[in-house]
Amino acid sequence: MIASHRWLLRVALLVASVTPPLLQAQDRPEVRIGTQAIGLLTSVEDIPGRGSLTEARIVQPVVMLHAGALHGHLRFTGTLNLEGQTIPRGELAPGAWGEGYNDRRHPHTYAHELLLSGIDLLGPFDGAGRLSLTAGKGFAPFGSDDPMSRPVVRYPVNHHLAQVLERAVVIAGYRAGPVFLEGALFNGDEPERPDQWPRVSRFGDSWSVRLTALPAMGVEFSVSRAKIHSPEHRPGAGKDAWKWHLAARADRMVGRVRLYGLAEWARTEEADGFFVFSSLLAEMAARRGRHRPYYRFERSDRPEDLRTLDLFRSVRPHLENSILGITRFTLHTVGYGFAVGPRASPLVLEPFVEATLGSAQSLDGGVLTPGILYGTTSVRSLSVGLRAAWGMAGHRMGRYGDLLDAGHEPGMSHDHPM
Amino acid sequence: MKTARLLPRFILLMFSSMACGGGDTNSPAVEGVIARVTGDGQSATVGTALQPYQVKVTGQGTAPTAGATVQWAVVSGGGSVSAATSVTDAAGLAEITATISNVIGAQVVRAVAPGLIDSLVTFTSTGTADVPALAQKTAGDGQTGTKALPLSTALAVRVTDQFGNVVAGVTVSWLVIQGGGAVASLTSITSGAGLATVTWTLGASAGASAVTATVAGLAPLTFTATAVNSFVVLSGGSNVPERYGSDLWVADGYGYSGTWGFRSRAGNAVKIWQLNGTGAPTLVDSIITVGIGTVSDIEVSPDGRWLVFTAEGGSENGIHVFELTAPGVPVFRAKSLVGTGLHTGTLAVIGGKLYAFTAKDPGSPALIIYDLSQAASGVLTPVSSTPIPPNYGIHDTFVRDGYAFVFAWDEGLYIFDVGNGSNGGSVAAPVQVSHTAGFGGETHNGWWFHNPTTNEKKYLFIGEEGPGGVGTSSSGDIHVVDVSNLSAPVEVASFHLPGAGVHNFWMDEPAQRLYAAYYNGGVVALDVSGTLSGNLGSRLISQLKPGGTGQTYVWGVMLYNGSLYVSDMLSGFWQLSVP
Repeated sequence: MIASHRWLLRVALLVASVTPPLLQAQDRPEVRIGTQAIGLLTSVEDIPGRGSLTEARIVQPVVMLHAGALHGHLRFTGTLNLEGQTIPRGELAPGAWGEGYNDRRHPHTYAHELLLSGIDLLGPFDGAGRLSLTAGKGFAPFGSDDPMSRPVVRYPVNHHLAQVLERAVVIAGYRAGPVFLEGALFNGDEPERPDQWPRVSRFGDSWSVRLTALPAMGVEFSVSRAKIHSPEHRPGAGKDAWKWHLAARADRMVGRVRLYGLAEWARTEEADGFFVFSSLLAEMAARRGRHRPYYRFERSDRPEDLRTLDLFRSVRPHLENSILGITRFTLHTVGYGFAVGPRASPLVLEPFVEATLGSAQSLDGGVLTPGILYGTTSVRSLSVGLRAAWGMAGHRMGRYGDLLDAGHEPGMSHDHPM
Repeated sequence: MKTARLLPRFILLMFSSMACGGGDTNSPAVEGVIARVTGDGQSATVGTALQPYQVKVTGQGTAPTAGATVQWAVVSGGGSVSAATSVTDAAGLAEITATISNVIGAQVVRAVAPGLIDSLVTFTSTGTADVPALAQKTAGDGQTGTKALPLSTALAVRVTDQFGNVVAGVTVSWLVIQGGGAVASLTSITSGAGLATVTWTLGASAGASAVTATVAGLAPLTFTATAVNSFVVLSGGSNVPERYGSDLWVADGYGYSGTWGFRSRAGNAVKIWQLNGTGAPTLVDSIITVGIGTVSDIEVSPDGRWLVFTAEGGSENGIHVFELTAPGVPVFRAKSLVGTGLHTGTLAVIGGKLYAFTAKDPGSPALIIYDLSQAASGVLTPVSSTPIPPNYGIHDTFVRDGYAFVFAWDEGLYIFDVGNGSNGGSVAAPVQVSHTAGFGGETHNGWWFHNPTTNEKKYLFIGEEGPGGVGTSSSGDIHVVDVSNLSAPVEVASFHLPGAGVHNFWMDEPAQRLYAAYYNGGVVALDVSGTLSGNLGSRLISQLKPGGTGQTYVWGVMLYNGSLYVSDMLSGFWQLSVP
């Protein structure tokens, strides 16, 4: 099994390396391939069980394929994520949680995105409106972009509060001028390992809607609502999660500086409101020439699940509906990247340094408090790394149909030096 | 405010013009005014007549209009008017008498002079309750409570008049007439809802107690209660600081308690407690099993020879069997590892052999039955494995009379014949007798009550484990199920403890008492004698949080030699006296 995955990795990287980014005219088939990987050395103090830990890993290794045909009416979005090979035990990240991992960000499934979109299906029959339908495996229309497509390398604590990913999803979207409305049905279950697929039997037990407005180029506001049935218990015996998300996002040129900013608020209620988890996050980045400083503030709540003997992992599947506490992480992450690759090229090589400082506080005095788990309420991590990307400009994970290319100025990416 | 007054008048005008004007909406109105003179704003006892309502009709200027017809009607609040119409006299005056209905509240009467520009006025009066005619007990009667402590439910009396209207402002006098103790106030006044309440603190001695509630002119009401002894901490506590406590068992002068999760150490220990002459525990040894994260259940066999625990959360998940070569001296003999873990294990002798009924955790949950008869030679033989639908799986099993009651979370209750013979089942081939969903939907554990007083085997107590924040909050009730017909169990009663949820049970069957671990609610004793039906709130005998609020989260309880032993996740191993 592992050998086959390594073979898959080699083939994917080979394809990515020999295929240049290609964006062809709209009346011909369009194919665009991109790839990315980040070499990362991270040191964290304190870790679960106390003490410090330093690890070197390759994170976010993805190969992305966008293809279009029929004058742009048919679009394919595919993202192969190879974290199952490079970080099978997760990426060291204080506060991160989800899919059975704690203080390690979980590896994503290999088929991260695999979707087909039909765009403007009614043509002139709905006037200026545009109806799209998307189906496949990927993100439900809820919340903000996948952190993988954002400037800060370290995943936020709120990943599972502000995104709904790795689902078998059918999305109907309608665009009227600068306003987009999306609604989706999908399966509620989250994966528990990288090679796991959504449970087809649960398709349709969860839904989400997202309303997005783009009042100006590169400026976006959105509000999302979702009901997810039993997300952390795959057979479906878990409680429902009801989610809200509000976001304001900007990604545009101001003079010679490319500015990116995101502010979001998320709230998840589980078990009829018995548990409530909230998140507030604001992040920004400024790209000028080769320089890119960035910063993120986050205050997010995390449920503490029953751990295994490996304190980075929690028991899956859950045995009951209890949690061991709620921890609020208040984190400041600051980073700086310097692009060393050729200018105006699809290739990005960006060494960076990134540090996170903050605190973890028990909200409810449960039995798994930061004091017990880490021996401290301080959070400290430092990372250095090299981001290598080819042709990833403008790829926002989690936006499909008419929203695929929306929300940023064409041809721009905060990843790319100018 | 002005709008609020004008709006009803406008609506009345609209309706009156429709009602009175008929098809006359095109007829021109005549200049004139109708105005109230006397009678508005009265208050009177329901069913009685008011002072007359009088209006004056004037024409142009202030000249009175004689001979004008005024129409009267009750708009709201019921009651009646003495005449539907009256005619103005030379002074322009017309009047009627209104009678308040039998229901308290506002009564509105309108007077209309048809054809005038300003043709409508209303009179509003209030009907008040008649004198008290009936007093009834509405809450607090028949409770059982801890002596010298307030009862959980306040005593409440509702006072009504002859028409059933609640009567506010009535004095109710309270008097303790049996058992001692005190009421919080000797008198209380009925509220707007006609209710008077008082808190009753029972006397210092156990036994029958009574309080009377008296309303002047009415027969006294008697509230009864039973005062019982309370739980009292005898010893223990704060004795497992490095780990969180889990399940327990007590046998032959020794206690055994498990641990779970992660505190400063993993929950891989079984603590061994020696009980002294008064039953007080002293930690004398521990079994540490590397490779497990939680000791999920623990039990000693009926003959005292075998100590068995189940394990989760590590690489050594499964069932571990120790031989007690002497009480308190375990020697490892056998284990059977189950990858996902075993959540509980229940021991029972069937056909002369000792078996362990274990709950295999998801993903493929099952009831696995082990034959322990060869454990001394290191052999544990699984004799059957019965799959359970893969939700949260089985949480606990209760075995008695050859039946296994399997508590399977969302699935509910399964009853298997595992040797009784009624359905041809055996431990090697369990036969399902029934499957019943419900019981709050999160079916966790149970106890089949064999009542030696009545010889009934009627009731099965089921614990519901709802959502909880371990260490701080919990939810879930006790459900009482009539299993007179094992093929068709029916829930007949339940008990809810506000602010806490139930976990494991123990019973003192001769005393007809159920003891329940109640997580952050501590320990609870319930009177389960007689017929059980509906809300069992009044069956609460006593409740105690041995570690105190914030340091109590009780996993399990067990009665032994007259003491109740408690394993608290936060505060350790305790010995309590029982009520």
